[in-house]
Amino acid sequence: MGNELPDETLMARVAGEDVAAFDLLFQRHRRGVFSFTLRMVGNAATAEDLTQECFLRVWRARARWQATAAFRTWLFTIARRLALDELKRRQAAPVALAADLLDDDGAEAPAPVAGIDARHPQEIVMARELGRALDRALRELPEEYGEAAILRDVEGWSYDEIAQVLGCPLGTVKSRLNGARKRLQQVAREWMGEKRT
Amino acid sequence: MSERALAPGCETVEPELGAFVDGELAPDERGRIERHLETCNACRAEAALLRMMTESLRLVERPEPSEGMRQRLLAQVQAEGTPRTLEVVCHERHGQEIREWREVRRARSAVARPATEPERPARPRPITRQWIQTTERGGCRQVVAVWYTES
Repeated sequence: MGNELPDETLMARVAGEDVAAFDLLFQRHRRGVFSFTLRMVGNAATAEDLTQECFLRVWRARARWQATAAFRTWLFTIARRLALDELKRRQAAPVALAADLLDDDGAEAPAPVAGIDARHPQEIVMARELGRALDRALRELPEEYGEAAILRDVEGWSYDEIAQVLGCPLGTVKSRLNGARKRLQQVAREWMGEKRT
Repeated sequence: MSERALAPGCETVEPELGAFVDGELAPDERGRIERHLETCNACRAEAALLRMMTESLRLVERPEPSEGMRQRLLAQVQAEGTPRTLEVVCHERHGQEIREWREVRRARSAVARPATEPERPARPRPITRQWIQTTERGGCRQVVAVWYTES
């Protein structure tokens, strides 16, 4: 049902108590919300709880929903707030979660990326390996850098959408991404150095 | 963006390289960066590294939550139930004077949201501000509207 319908149309149906439309929205965004919260909080079980809570809040807020903003940015604003609350509650940086993220079970086949797929398979393997090294580094970034970098580099969002979710100007998004990439560049250079030796 | 020593001209280009690689620059700014890259090996290498990084990160796994979680979520949504009672509570506040009226609607299936906000009957005093809130609890949707009038 309604697979081709925009999020905002489905959400209008959810506001009219349509559980099937809600399930469709969940199916459409569950991976993005889970992936984002997992990288923010560093633990799969917690990320699953946060994802569930995030969608539950969507359901509970359905009566107040107004299509003045894109559904996706509203959804991720909720997810981000939950993740930040969780980090605040812990009063600690995200724990190492290499095992959680590097487990391929249930992981989506990554979307084709222009420029990469035309390369030799060995290059794709190397790129994926570098991606994992960068992904680990991403989770060790200060949270204001990390959340911007996750939304841009993993989820592929535009600067404008990121600014809406983070509630900050475009210039701030740019400077946070620059800060994140400065650190990631060091990791990439170290990784390439190791590959050469 | 890197720790390299910047050559003349690079200092205004380097902070824009990330946005350049992301395709987030306006056409004139993009053109300026492209012209610089044609002559600057260091910035070109920097842009290539950034591009490689972003492409690599787009290849990382995006795991999905378990099917069990979906079932729990849907069960919770069903358990919370859909509102079958709609209660509209209206207050009009004029200084110390408060006028209140309410309407309760019950239905066998889910009650629809009010098509419009609760309507305040025409009164001679103009409204200075109004406040409307919708909440749901225990299968009841309550709409509270308060109108403040000039004293």
